[in-house]
Amino acid sequence: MEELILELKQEIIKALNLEDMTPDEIDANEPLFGEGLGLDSIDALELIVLLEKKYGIKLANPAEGKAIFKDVTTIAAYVKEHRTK
Amino acid sequence: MNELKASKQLEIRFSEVDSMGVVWHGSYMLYFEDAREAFGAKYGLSYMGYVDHGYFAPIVEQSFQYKKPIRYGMRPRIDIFYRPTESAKVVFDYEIRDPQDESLIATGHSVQVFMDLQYQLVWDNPPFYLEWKRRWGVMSQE
Repeated sequence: MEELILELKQEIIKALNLEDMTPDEIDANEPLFGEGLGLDSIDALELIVLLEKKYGIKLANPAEGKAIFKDVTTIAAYVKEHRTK
Repeated sequence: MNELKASKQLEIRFSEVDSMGVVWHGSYMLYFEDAREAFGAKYGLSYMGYVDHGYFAPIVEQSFQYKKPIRYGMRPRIDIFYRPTESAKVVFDYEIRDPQDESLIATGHSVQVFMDLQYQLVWDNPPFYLEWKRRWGVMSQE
């Protein structure tokens, strides 16, 4: 799980061009949207591509997505359970 | 991958020139809009086409770099380039050039997303847009 969390942080940094950040600077339990990392709904479009491409997870339902993208730990738990690659 | 590009010659209106005698920076927003219309007409990706498929495609990001002024009487050309993206976005780069010497006047970048007709952000590429990408050979998915 720790490994997956680190990998997700790295992938999020890459997907959203946050190159001036290091994985350590992202708190896995901090909200990704609004407060915390301060992402917005447009950024979520890139996270959707990330989940689909890297883990073979297709999210089409925004309501579901909002819950999954709460923080890195929540994404990691979802990926662990649903990944197809 | 194909590079999709459209061009349009700009007609500079006197009303677009500011008190410095050059085209006011805000006018460029409209030139970029003209370029998107020209692109849409050429490749079948127009605003009304979006609506016909049940989507809006609002601009969520637009940037400009102003390198040289445009003066009244000039007839610059704007080139618009489609930038393929895997996410549910429509991304363009723009260049405005002086056809006399091909010098670069301004560059820009825009991002559009999709909303359904209830104004909710659409997370996935709409089917018609995927189809459009396939048709023009600009699918970035493996």
